[in-house]
Amino acid sequence: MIDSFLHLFEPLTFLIILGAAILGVILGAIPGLSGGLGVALLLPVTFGMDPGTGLAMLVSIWIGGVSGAMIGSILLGIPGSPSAIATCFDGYPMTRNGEAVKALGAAITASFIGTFFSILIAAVASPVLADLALKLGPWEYFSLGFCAIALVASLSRENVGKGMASAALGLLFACVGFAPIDGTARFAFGNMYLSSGFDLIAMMLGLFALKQIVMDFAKGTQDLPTVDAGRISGFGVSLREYRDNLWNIIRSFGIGIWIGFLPGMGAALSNMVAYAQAKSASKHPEKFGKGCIDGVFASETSNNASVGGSLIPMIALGIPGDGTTAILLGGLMIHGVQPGPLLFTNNPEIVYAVFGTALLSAVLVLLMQFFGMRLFPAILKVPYHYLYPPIVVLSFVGVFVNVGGSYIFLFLLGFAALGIVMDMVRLPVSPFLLSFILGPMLESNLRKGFTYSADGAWAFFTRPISAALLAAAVLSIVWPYLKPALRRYRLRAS
Amino acid sequence: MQRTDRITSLVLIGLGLIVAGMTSQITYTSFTDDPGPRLFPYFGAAVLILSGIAIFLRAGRSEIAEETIPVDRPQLLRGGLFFALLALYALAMKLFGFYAVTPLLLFAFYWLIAGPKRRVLWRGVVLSLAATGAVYLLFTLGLGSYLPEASIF
Repeated sequence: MIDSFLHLFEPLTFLIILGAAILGVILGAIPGLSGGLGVALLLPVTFGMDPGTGLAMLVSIWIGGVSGAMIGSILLGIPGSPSAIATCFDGYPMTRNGEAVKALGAAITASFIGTFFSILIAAVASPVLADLALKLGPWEYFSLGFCAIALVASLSRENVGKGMASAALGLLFACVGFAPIDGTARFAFGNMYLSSGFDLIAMMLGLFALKQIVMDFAKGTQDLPTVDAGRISGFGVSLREYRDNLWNIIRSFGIGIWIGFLPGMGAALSNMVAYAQAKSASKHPEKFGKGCIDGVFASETSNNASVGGSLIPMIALGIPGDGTTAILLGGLMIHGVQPGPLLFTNNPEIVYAVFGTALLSAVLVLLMQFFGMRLFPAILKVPYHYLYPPIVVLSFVGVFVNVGGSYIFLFLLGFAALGIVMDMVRLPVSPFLLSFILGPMLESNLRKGFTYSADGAWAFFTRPISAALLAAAVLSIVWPYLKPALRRYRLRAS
Repeated sequence: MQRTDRITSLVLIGLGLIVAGMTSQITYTSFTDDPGPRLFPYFGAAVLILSGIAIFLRAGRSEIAEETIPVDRPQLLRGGLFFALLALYALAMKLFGFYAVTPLLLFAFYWLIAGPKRRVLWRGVVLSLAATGAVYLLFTLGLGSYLPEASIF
């Protein structure tokens, strides 16, 4: 084990890890790109390296990418990747309020806490926790996904109906293309581009980046936000703010690591669920969405905690937690390492190298972002007429590179238009996105749930964990309607 | 806002009914207990219709006062103009490729966003060329990706 750790500090290996972490942060921060893309692109580069160094490089890009995604969310309101969507909700308003550096400071520390401690837990408890994932069936996975959507939809407290309508639209958009399990074509109208479904990156950039730019231009917005760099010391977050958010951070960490370690789920889901929970549990929910630091802590702790969470099934079972861990898994196999229960016995040095690199990368990313956090907001001093045109081009190029065809521009523009309409009629975007992301997983598990049990649909209600999650989902939807009725009843009774 | 909400709710209900109708047309074969590919779209359509009804009922309650969205005609025109330019960029890039179109459209975006008071010709030209070059460096040289090529030639 000590040899594996010492190997990471050899000059060449250390430089590779540092360079990869920097590249990951840059890719994560650029809209349309991500650390996952970096892992995929650099996988062939590792063929000539020894397995330990090659995997160290891939893991570092991944860690840097997840953490770097918050930079675009906070400074521009454009998430670098789906894992940082919820960071936009309060991070960007904080920037608009002149608290960009403070928001970055909170996000950086939350990212570090999430990554570092989740990896420690993964290193210690992988074999034990992985068994738990295997005990859950499609009923629990469906109910968990549905519960997550209901929680996020209920964030629109003033109108839960709109939250659920937005979620339903997301589910229907996810139905376009080939159905899971049997591959039946749905709502494609014979079009080959629709047959493969909508692209998540095009959806994200349309709904956030292009929509924001069109709206700002329409409103004639030219005022640049002020930057709080001059009056900030340390991470810019007071001890009191950390103390006030202690429980929020612990809860978000738990959500992140739990969702991360469930196969097929990941940081794209955990950040929104943690945000929803933070808002629900907050003493001042009305401040959320207007620049509340609690929302940044929740989102960034949970999405980074999912890093450690998704390493658990990858290392212990050979099951990828999300798309990026699937590529990492491929990297392990290319280097002749067979992931699974025997990995700890057959290749312990690889396991320690992966965990050691992840811990070292988390520290390097923390240091890099600490020194960079006063520099990143320089982008906010760039007037919009210099800033927005390159973002438009990056959005178009980003979606093109992702799918490799010009047809994707139509989807990008379509989602920008949809975002503008949703904004005008006040339909929230987050339940839509979350439902779209979870749609295929939900459908697959719903159908498996019907098929695997003789009880059919009843199994969703008779299995305890599934039933509890469904009950929580229903409660979160009806509670905003029930609460005023209960208050009136109590008033009448008293 | 109540009027907007009512219209929104009716559109959502209508959309849910259309999706349900289209779902019933999906043909498939199943030899197991699998409920098939219709179940999930039906589920989504049902949630959409129920949500639409909830929004409609809520909009009917007079005590709910929400901030109204000002519909400003000049804003709509400006938004429409910018969106048209985005569509032109997409179309032109498909026809003529990234390198021929991007500098021109970058300049057009700059010119439009800057407005008459802020626009400076040489700065626009520098921005267009520098941003195009940066994208080339990052994507083509750095990541080895292909950028859109002309389809008209």
